[in-house]
Amino acid sequence: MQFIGKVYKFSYIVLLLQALAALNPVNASEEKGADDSYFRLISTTCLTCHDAGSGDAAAIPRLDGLRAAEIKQLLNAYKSDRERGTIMNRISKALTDTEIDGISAMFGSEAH
Amino acid sequence: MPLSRRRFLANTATAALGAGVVTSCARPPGKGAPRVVVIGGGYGGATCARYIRYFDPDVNVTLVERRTHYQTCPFSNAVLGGIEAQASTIRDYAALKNNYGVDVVHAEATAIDPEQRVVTLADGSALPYQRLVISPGISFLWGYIFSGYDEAASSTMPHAWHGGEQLALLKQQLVAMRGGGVFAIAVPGTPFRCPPGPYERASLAAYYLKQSNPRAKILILDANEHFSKQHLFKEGWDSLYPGMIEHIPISAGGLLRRVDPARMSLQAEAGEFRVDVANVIPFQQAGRLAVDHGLTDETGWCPVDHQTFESTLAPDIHVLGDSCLAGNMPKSASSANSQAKVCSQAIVALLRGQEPGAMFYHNTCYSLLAPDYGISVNGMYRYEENRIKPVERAGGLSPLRAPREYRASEADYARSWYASINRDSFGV
Ligand SMILES: Cc1cc2nc3c(=O)[nH]c(=O)nc-3n(C[C@H](O)[C@H](O)[C@H](O)COP(=O)(O)OP(=O)(O)OC[C@H]3O[C@@H](n4cnc5c(N)ncnc54)[C@H](O)[C@@H]3O)c2cc1C
Repeated sequence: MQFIGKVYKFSYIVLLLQALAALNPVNASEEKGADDSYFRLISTTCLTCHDAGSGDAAAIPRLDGLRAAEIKQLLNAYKSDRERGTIMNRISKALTDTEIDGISAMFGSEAH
Repeated sequence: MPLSRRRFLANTATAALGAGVVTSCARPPGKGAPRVVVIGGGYGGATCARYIRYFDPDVNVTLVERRTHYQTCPFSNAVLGGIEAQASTIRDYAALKNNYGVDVVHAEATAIDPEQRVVTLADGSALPYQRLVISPGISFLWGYIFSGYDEAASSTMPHAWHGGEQLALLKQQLVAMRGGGVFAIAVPGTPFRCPPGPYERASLAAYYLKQSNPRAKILILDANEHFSKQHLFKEGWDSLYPGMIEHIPISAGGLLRRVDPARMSLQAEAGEFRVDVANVIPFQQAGRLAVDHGLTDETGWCPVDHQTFESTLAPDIHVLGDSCLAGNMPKSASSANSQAKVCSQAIVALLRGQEPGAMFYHNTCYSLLAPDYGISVNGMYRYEENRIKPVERAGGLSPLRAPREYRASEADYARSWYASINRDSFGV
């Protein structure tokens, strides 16, 4: 709120909208999250474990080379436990549909 | 979207692209570009330096790190257990310098002037900044709670909580221990760096001893009642090392009160233990730099704004990693790496006069109990209600009573995680 306050100091309407959004935090983050910089941030989170390069110890699969639709399908399958992994079931449950779309688009190619 | 995706893939080198593609990151910013100084080239600082350059190649980044080589604490227990070479846990800063355009300065940062916004190095040189990030790790509270333990005592009773010579010493002592000896680990009160670390250490010491010194015992004197992944560790100990590891929680007198290195004596509330090897881990607080510059509160750690990691005690100074108070996020390399990405994103926005947006954080901590036996815990968090808030019904622990293939695959994932986080934090 501190920063919101700084930026929108003069706009009471925006402040009011922010306050309303804050009452519903999930919506707030989805609304605020629906931009490229947020998807980029969340996608960099994947790269902590999913190697960015050729990777000698490559038990954890790389994310490039998949189509966006495949990544989306996989994340949803983990999320619903249709696909059984180890930590991916636990991680994907944190992601909203919008976030899954955003991550899939960042990593995946559009079509083949 | 396609444009940003292309930039994402290129700049993170996700797509089988070597270091060459990151040229847009390596390009030096123009004249008058803002400068961020990052102090501490561990998981927090290195990742932050790299990702500020990634999120905005038009920002100058100077990384100040006292050492030319960084010894990772992750996998240091594997070194102790003889399943990883110490040399393979060392990283340098060449990639950050050469491929990501970070100015790397190897020096001790001795002073911060928050008014003038200048960092002073040991040789007296000054580094001005628009924003400062510090990720100085932890410092020890020598003499706190238990007496007799200081830097000198640690050359007999190593803590080995920073890697390096201490780790080599502990390993030497483990290897040289007499047949049937006692290897003791004293665990400090929370919060401390790497909550599952002492128990992973007990596991991998047991792995080593089971082969070379099978009558040896491991004693854990604990200043806490419960510990991270406790049921998973205990289940693993029962099946892999039955009867070898004894854990004394605080309610059973596990709190250490005094150590006497000359007699190899650990005096806990439960009584005196004469041991053969004593791995004494002191109580901890934020890194020295943070403590000395008034960035800590009464807890000994640094309070920060959870969206930007900016200190709530000093403007324009951001604190990351083990030193900061980040809600429920444990003090881990994984947390530090995630916090650094959030902080980089926030700093880039703030330098442009923009409002930092939504934030997402993640931690995954693997522990090895044997080369083919891994367990994990993880958590995801969002910035909500002005704080780092765990995402409900997500994250959590490996299941109990899982088949051995599950444990084996998590051990493989642990090694893969280690390779990946090092590339992500220190660059390729
Ligand atoms: C035994 C053990 C096992 C672990 N295993 C894991 C694991 O499996 N997974 C995991 O996620 N985490 C693990 N950790 C935790 C992890 O090591 C830390 O959480 C992580 O290193 C924190 O990063 P940081 O950037 O806060 O601090 P650090 O990594 O300690 O980096 C701080 C850096 O700052 C430099 N520095 C400090 N002050 C100055 C100054 N004034 N001037 C210049 N340079 C300075 C130091 O030289 C250092 O390089 C483990 C820790 C231990 C002890």
